[in-house]
Amino acid sequence: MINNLSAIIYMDGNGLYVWVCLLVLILILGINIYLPSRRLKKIYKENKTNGL
Amino acid sequence: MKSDIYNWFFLILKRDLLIAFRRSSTYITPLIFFLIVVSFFPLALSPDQDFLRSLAPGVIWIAALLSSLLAVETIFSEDFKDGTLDEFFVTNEPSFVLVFAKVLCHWLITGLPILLASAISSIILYLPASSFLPMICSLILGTFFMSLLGAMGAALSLGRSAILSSIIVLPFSIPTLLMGTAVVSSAINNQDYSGFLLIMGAMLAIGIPGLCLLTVEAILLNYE
Amino acid sequence: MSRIWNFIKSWTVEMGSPPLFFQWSSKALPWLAIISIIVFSIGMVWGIFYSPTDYKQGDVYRIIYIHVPSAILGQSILMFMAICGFITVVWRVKISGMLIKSAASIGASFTLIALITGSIWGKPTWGTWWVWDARLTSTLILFFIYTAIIGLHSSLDDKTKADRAISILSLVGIAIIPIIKKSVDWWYTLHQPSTFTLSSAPSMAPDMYQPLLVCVLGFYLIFAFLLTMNLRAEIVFREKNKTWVSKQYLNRQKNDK
Repeated sequence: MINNLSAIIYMDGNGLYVWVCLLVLILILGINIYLPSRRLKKIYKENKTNGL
Repeated sequence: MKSDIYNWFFLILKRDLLIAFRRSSTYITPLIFFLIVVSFFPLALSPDQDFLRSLAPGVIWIAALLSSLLAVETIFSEDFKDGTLDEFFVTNEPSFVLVFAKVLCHWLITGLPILLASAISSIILYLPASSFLPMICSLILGTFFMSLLGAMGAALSLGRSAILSSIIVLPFSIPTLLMGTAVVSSAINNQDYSGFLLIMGAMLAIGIPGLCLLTVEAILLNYE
Repeated sequence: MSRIWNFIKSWTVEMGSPPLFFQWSSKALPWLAIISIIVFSIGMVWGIFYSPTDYKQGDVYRIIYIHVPSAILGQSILMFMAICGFITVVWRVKISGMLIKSAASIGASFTLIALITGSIWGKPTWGTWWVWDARLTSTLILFFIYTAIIGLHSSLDDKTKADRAISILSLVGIAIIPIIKKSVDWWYTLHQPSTFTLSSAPSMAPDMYQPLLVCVLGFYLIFAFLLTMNLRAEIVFREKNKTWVSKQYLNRQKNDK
């Protein structure tokens, strides 16, 4: 089982390329999720400090 | 009162040309800029004849694109600053005609010097004489399309920095660059180039009504 | 017929009004997130772990499940933006202007993903990080167009004006994209014979093709999710001085805590 898993991760030496691609994808999508939520939070905080 | 559209068109064209001719820098700057950019390539790369000949289409076209965008923001910005543009839009005349006249004027004061400069550069870059005519034809079509695109960029970035309009316009000018270099390099290699010229003409034919209308829309953004 | 049209028009206008949109999207957003993440994960796991190995390229071809959907998304988001741009220019619908602004950054992100994964894929197959292949080149130009659109929007202070400015730009973009693709193809054949194409979709085995379809669907759902998030942030940002924002948004936040 462990052998099998490491074979999948290694992918005959090409694994690094595939995993880096996946990492890039998740990273950029993550930034896209993080930025709007940070923007919303910022406005929320501003509203709060303005005394509502 | 209903005046003739042609009269209106020629009135604006004449006015803009007159303003441009009173200030000689408007039509000399693109010419000099073009020649300087072209002369940099042999200096930076190699003065070898065959090498320069293979490089020539690209060099001439890059210089043409850059120098046609050099003064593009002046198409509308001066009239916008002193309020003349407001007056033009207040009149009952179609604003489409106004934009087209301004684009044509810009092409006359930058496109024609570019053609002259490219004729000189074709000599200093050792272009064969047979490729001279296709180069001029493609440059006429291409620089006019660049003037249209530049007018749109200038209208969108009205009152903003001049570099913004170039950054907006340059990605959209890539098909013109590719087609233009394809025409010249096919002519050098004695291949058929008419197809590329026809595509450039088709782009211009769609661009004149389409881009002029969008430019009108972009100018109107500033009057709300 | 006209009654149906009027109904559609009034319904979309009503649902698209910022306060109402904010209300119903806050209910729909969790569901959208769950569905999109499930489909996305199914596609990824199926593609990367269970699809057969390509006999020519080995396992590296599995990048296709990331590269091709993001390239497709990069193009179709520009098309989406052009449709929104047309609506903004013609009918001046407020929310479509915000939509086009929110979609621009997502489209640029997907195009960037396609570029990066394409060049990572190029390293083991071509031996270099970058090849001036026709598809990679036109994707690069697409990325430049996105940056031009985003740059124009951020340079204008009046945001409704900026919306309409980028609508115009995206309309030009959608008209010029087919020309760019065609001319890049010609340019490519003029300079070098096409020896190897990155992805030959029609000749793919069904075992490889089916996970790709799931991946594309998952990417579209992710796009819808990201777009909704971006749009909500945009709406609150634009209308933060209006009373409905402070009422609804603050109330929701309190209920969450």
